Amino acid sequence: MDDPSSKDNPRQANQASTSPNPPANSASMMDISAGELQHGDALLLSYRISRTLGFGSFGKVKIGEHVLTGHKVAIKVLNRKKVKSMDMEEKVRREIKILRLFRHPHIIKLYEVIETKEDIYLVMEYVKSGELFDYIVEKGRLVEDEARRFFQQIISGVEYCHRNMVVHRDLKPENLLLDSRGNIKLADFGLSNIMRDGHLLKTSCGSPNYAAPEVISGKLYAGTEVDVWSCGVILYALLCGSLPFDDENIPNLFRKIKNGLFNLPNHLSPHSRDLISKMLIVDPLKRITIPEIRQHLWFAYNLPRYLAVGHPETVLSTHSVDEEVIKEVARLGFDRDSVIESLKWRIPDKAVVTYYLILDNRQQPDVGYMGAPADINEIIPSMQMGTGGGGHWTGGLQRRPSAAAAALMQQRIFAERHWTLGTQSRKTPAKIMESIYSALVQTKASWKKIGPYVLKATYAMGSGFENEISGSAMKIEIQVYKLKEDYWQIDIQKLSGGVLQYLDLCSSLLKLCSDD
Amino acid sequence: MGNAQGKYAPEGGEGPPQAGSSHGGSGPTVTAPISINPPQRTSPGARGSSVPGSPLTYGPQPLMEPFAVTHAASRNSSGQPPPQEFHGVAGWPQQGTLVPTVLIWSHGGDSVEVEGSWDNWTSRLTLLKSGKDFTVVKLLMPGVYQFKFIVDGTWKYAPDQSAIFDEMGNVNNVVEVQEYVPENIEGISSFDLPESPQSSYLNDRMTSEDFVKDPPLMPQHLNLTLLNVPQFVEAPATLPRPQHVILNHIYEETHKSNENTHVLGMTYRYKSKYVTTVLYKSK
Repeated sequence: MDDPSSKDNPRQANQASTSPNPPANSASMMDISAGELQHGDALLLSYRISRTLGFGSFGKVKIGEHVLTGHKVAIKVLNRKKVKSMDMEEKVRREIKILRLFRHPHIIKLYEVIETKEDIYLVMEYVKSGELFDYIVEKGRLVEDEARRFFQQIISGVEYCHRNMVVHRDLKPENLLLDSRGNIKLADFGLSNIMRDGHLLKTSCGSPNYAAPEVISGKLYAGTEVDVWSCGVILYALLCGSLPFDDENIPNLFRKIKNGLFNLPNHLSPHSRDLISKMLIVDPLKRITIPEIRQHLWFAYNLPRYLAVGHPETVLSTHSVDEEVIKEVARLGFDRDSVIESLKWRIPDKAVVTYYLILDNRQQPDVGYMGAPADINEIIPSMQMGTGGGGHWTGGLQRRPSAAAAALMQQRIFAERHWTLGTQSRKTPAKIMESIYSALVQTKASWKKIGPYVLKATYAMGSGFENEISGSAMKIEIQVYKLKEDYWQIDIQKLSGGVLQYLDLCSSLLKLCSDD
Repeated sequence: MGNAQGKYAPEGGEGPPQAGSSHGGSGPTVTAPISINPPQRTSPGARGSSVPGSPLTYGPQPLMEPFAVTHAASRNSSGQPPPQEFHGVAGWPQQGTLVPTVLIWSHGGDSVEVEGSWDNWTSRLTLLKSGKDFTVVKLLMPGVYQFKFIVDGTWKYAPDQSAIFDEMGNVNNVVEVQEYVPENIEGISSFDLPESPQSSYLNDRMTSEDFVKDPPLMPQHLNLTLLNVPQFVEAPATLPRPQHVILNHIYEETHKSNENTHVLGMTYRYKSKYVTTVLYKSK
């Protein structure tokens, strides 16, 4: 890439030797090295940069060594111009924000972000063994125990994302990295998105082979269900060494995905077949959910304790400051109290980066008592082992669902629809919009168009619809959906404001918009 | 220590949604809170300190009266023996899920044990060394429990974990076990886009171009309102956890039986709970 700014700078680079001195000369990455020389002092002071690990969309990934601790890191170099020219600033911004928030044994860690005029450096956890993709390509299909171990770690990471209201949307073996101990690290959150209360997602993204039918059809989805599908494809790939849906011709591929037709090889065990089939159900509402996967026998077998408990991240002493690590950080010259203070407020300063590098290189979740497989009764208490079965899986494929889960299942299948979303109408969409405008005018709202059938409306303070307690103005979103041919649904959702005021307002609006 | 004197007063399961009623619910645990009075307040009037639908999942003082195992077993409608480690919390629906919970001691020592209010401090569990910490995984029903470690024979609480005074003035650690790990919506708050200015609300109308295509198909997810969940005879107060997409949307009751009343409902998030509110308004 032609970078005019680099011409003003001597071409010097960061390609390092094994010498402990900061960068030796080398001329391989002009545009990046130019930036570093000018502004990258912070990076060069903290890290010794050596060989290139790989190439991303916007620049190289290099191996670095944290000077103070000697721990290895991966440094993702993002060239600002490239990022901008590819219109990917949002993607990069999102990935940084999300990874800064997350701390999970099976999600790649971001230690710090160093910005220069030309580049953004993401200092990340170094994983030695590359992509799960290459591992499968090299080994072919895996035995069930090995596949299960990977799958348990993947599900645990995905569950953590979902719990933090993030949907990954690009899960595939290329984005699952393996560390030196063969542990999974979820990476590349560039296509991820936030799940907000009341809101569905639409953008179709990710690799077609791993994309859920509703995603490639451009339908609206909640979020978690599309990650479950991708994990189902990954599980298939782990166990079969091939993809469930594959075709060189994209329309053919999409047809296969939408029909949900795939072959299950004979070598698969009954439990793994069952799980794959449940994850690759075309109807997103009938598809198995992550809590249900956790209860599935294939998943629960040999589940290590640290993944069996609700918060694997708390097991790793993130709830408290590790005294030994603090001592180590203090020994390296940082003030003890200010380290603790920065940790508390999650300020990613040098001391905190040092703390986490030491901590993460010490902690190994997969060892000892917590790393050992939990007894099946520790995970699925209601599992009834067959008498005299000697620990064999004589129960059903899934445990007897709890009443709550049963309610959900039943609701999925035969919901008694006494309650319907918003109100329904047989008028034309244009007429429906007219009735909505008129209802908004009558209730003294201001509105703006968000999309063809979506608008946002606000009510000024003093209109009587604001929340007196929080002082927040009433704001709603109105959307028209198609229910079936010539039958439409008006949906209202609250964006802000008081609950009772909202119910009251909706009562007026729905009456004004109704057909009779 | 930790001798529980608390009274328990299971709150009745709530019926179908009533005007202004609220269903709690990070899972079913909230809809039938077991409320435990602080031990010093034993007058009948003090019972039920937690109001149905109150945002508190559990009473703040969770010590349990000692229950006989048979008591718990008698509530076990399916006739299965209760799981081995489960010794009580009567009044809890049988289908409540035991949650694997990890107890950690990370302050050294050679032998670490733990006792807790889950079985009224009657048994000791040995923690195993896992890395530099001592840990044990214990199955617990959702609820709040006090516990304390015995490190090389001495009672100790972990200063880095939640702790409270018991009625004797001892410090015990305390853990809240939730059936579901609640969603964390704090973290993504930084992703909120700035509010658009009032001046952008121009009351603009759709144009003919907007009507070229039909509106999008209604996503089926939005049909999964809690308001449509049938009641269970076994566990009338149990509700599944709603998907986030149904929150804040308005639902209308379409029964023609109440022609003169407009009945609307919605479910929204309050901290880690879900609240459903129903409005009855005369037409």
